[in-house]
Amino acid sequence: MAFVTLSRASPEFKSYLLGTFSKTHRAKFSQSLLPHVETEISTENVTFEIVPISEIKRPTFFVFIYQWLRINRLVFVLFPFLFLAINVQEPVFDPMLMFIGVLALIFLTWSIHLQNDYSDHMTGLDRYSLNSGSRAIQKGWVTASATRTWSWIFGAGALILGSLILIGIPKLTLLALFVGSLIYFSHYAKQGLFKTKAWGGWLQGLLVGPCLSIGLEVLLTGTMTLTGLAFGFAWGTMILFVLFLNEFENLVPAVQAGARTWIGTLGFDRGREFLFRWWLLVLFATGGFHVIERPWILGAPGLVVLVYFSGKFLKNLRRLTSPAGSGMIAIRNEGYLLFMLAVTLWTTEEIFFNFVKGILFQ
Amino acid sequence: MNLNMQDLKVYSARDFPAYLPKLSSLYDDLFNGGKGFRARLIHMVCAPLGVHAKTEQLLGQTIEFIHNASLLHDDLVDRSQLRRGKPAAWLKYTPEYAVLAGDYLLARVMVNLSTYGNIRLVQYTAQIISDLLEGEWLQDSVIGDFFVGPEQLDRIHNLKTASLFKWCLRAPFIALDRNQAELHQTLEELGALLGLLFQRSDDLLDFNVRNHEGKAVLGDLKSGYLNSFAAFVSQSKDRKTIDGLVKSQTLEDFAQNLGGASELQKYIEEFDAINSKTISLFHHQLENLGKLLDPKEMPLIDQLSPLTDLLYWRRKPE
Repeated sequence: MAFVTLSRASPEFKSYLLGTFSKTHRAKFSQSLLPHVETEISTENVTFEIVPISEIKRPTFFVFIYQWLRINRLVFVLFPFLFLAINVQEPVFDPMLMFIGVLALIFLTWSIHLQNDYSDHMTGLDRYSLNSGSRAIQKGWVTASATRTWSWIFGAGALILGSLILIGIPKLTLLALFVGSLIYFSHYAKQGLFKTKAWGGWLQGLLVGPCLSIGLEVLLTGTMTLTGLAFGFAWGTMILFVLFLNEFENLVPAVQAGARTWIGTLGFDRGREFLFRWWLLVLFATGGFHVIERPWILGAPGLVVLVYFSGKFLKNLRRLTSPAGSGMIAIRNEGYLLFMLAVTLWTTEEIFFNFVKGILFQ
Repeated sequence: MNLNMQDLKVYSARDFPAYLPKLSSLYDDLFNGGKGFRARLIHMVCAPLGVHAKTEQLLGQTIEFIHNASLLHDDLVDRSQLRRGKPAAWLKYTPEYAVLAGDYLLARVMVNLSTYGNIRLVQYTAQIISDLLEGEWLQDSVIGDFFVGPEQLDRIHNLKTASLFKWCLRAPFIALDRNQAELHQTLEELGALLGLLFQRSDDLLDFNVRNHEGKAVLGDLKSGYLNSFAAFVSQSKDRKTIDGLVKSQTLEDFAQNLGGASELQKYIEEFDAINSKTISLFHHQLENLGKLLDPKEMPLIDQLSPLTDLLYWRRKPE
């Protein structure tokens, strides 16, 4: 078992952090623990454990790709596309542009996830939150350098494909510039807003909510509607729920690490209450969307099912007594399942609604 | 390390006002029963550094006061009946006296350190007391949580247990106005590792592993607390198995619920293997410390090196 301690100022340091120091070994962080944030302690030196690549247990290729690229998270951007595509009133604006647009979206999502993994590793944040990101770098499955490279590749792909969209649909340019700036300052800038500002997470709700739905609607139909915008806001509340859930689970490590999160600023008691009320807001927003935009009889069964399962989640949330115990992980898992249930119910409703509409109005 | 509590001069009844009823006998019971390991650690660090005897005494007293204050409060919070084989202070006297006695020790720490006049030492000590209390608070919040994970417990132990070890290593250097950031980062790491190893070894005592002092078996589990070894064993187990494990009344029950004595032994060996890696990391950090010391201070490395044998493997040094 070999350890190496290097100063951040040392010329070799970056190569160890990036994983480029050796073709046969990986350098894993080996700081003993989570120092409490304290100005007297230097973080100048970092200790690595040097492990032969042959000793690292790697999953199958598909499992690796699924975890590394966080394939399950594609639902955040693909569900809005599915919803809008199913509900489009007129034929798709341009099928080729639609395909390019969705591909650009997927590439952009992967680029952002990989960039987050990379920056968490380079700043050392991944040592504090034991389950943030894909954990592929920490497990030694892939180097930080490779992760950064693929983030750039997917980002470049998204940029090229996005440019083709803008050539085809120039009216999206302003939105693209606005969204592009937000994404850059949130995730790619040196002091990315996402991890350094407590309100940084709220930007994600804006990006993946109304901004995404407006962009997708224009891509699909050439125009935007109030329905699309309303959907965007409802979807944004659901995305923020998942984000706040993760922040809540990582409350103690984030505060100890000095990372700024919205839930971190609220603390355990108020954070728990906030999460409780936010889920009620999600139910209200999605329920409200159904009441206004759909025949209520269609949305009612799904909403009833969701409210039923929400009861158990909300009760367990209120019962949580420790920010350091197993309940935090259990709540995160339950909350995420609730989110996926909501997505599944909504998807089923939309397919059924449009199927019935198609039959009735044929 | 053949020092007893009197040699360490950690506690003297003359240090406290005689007019407070029962205070002297409460502190007599508390300090005379202890091994004073932390004060010994202070001595081990101070001697090679040439710390003045009076300063060493102050540091030794400070850490023992903090440690014993936490024991007084701990026993009341946990409703423990015994401490070091004798009735706990809150039972023998009153809960109110136990709380006040603990608070008074912490107050005396602040009086003594501020009189000494090293503001960094005062600030650091206050931070450590704060960390200790945070760890206590978080630990209390996970009583009855039989699904808590080993990483979550490590976070608590880093605050509750490791903080005092870190203090023992860093305080002598702070007292000498040796405040280089890199030095203190290394000492902090060493303290954290020692604390972790000490806690994990203590948790193994609960399962009669290297239990030379005859500590009560399964005491933590019966108090509703899943310690680090129990958490290690129960991770990824189904609810039914965990239920069986936590309801075990004897070690044989526990082993049976796990799948037999050989299964338990396998887990002990795996746990030991993980901690062997931690021990290697400790020795690596000790090498780093060696590079930061003056040549005449190098005996400190020899003093600290056997600690992992003592604290984790419970082997007395030769």
